[in-house]
Amino acid sequence: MLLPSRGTLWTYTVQRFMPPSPPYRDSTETFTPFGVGYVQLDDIIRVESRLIGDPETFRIGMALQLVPLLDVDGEPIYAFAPVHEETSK
Amino acid sequence: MSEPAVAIVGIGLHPFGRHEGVSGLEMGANAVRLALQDAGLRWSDVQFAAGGSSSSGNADTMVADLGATGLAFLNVHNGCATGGSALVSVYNALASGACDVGVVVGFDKHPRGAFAERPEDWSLPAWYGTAGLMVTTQFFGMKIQRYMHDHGIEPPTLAKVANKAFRNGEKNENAWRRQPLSEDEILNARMVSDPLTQYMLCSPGEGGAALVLCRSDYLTRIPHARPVYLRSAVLQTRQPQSFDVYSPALGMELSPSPSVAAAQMAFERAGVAPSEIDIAQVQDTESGAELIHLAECGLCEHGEQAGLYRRGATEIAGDLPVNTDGGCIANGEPIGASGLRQVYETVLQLRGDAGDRQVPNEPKTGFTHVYGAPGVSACTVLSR
Repeated sequence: MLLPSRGTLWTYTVQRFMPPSPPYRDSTETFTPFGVGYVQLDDIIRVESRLIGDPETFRIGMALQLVPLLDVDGEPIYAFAPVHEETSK
Repeated sequence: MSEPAVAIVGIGLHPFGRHEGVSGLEMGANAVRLALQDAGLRWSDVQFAAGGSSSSGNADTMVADLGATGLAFLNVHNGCATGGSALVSVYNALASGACDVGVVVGFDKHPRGAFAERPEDWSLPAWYGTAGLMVTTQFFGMKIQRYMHDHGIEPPTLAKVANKAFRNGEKNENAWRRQPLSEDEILNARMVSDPLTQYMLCSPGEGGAALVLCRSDYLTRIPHARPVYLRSAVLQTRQPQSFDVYSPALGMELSPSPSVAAAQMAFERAGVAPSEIDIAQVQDTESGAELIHLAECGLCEHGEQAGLYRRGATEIAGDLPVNTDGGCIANGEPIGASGLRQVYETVLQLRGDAGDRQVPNEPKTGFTHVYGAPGVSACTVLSR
């Protein structure tokens, strides 16, 4: 099934400390807090995802779209970002 | 209430906190010795033991310390439900008549900081870890964030939960964190996993807890025992499409948490209704978990929590005292010992031995609940 690339934020938090490493790979020098949430894709599924954008702007129900994200090894993972950030660029 | 088959006759606790130079196994063995002393029984009287830790060794090796009596000893490794699972095993062995006297023990000694887990040990792909999603606190932050949105709960209620925990911890000589903090100090502390601040979350810690149990018809052989009856002990795991720790995706129709099923079964088997419970210990991994678990276990309605905490219903002198020993927030969470600490506290309260934090009016019934990754819950119902 092809899932929609846009959705709405169902819930979220902000990862403010560096996750235990391993399995996460980063260093305390370069770590910056990141958003994590469940993004509801139509009425099909809610997927857990990294969130891009200013954590202070996250709100349940906000519109999000799929964006590419690379992990520290350069491996592609996915993330969602607020739709308005994309259109304002 | 039907005639209960199993009684708790001894309780022991190695204080929770930090104990340099003392191993997890030593803390567990200390707790067993204290529980046996409390029961007036010897290690050689024990026919079956079950216990374990998450990361501090094999419980059955403590026979080197306690005595190699040849007893049956089951090692349990079941995450946050390690103590609860061990208790279920011993309860069933006693209730079935397979043995007369059993011991349950749980202990752990965790380093500082969040639990480090390998995705492959949890049936998850490696990317889940490298993406930074293998963090239990994220789940708790996201679950309470949604719950607050759905049920009209605001951050000050989260602060009230932690404030109560530290005040209760202050009255508990075995607790780790005994310094009361104001609701403002808790609300304004460093944010860890929104909406949860540093003081709303429990920390991995150290400690040990043990119980001695026997069949009720064995009580005539220990006339000095002060039994508290274990009316039920139930373990349940998650259902499809549930919102649990380490869930990469959720269905649209969420199944209830395993806490719901475990609590329902525990009440049914005990023949006790949630409304008949006088004191409750529920998993407070963080402030929000205490609020959610009270409702999931049937002890209040969803959305009722803000009012309950505002009017002090969950205080030691309230209608339904909750986490009277300070819970995980004040005691920390040595995973293997945590669920048995709840039972220890409940027995102490039902005996009337809880000192400064004794619940008034001679409580007769108690309930305990643990919850943890990846969606497991264990509950008990106890009575005098």
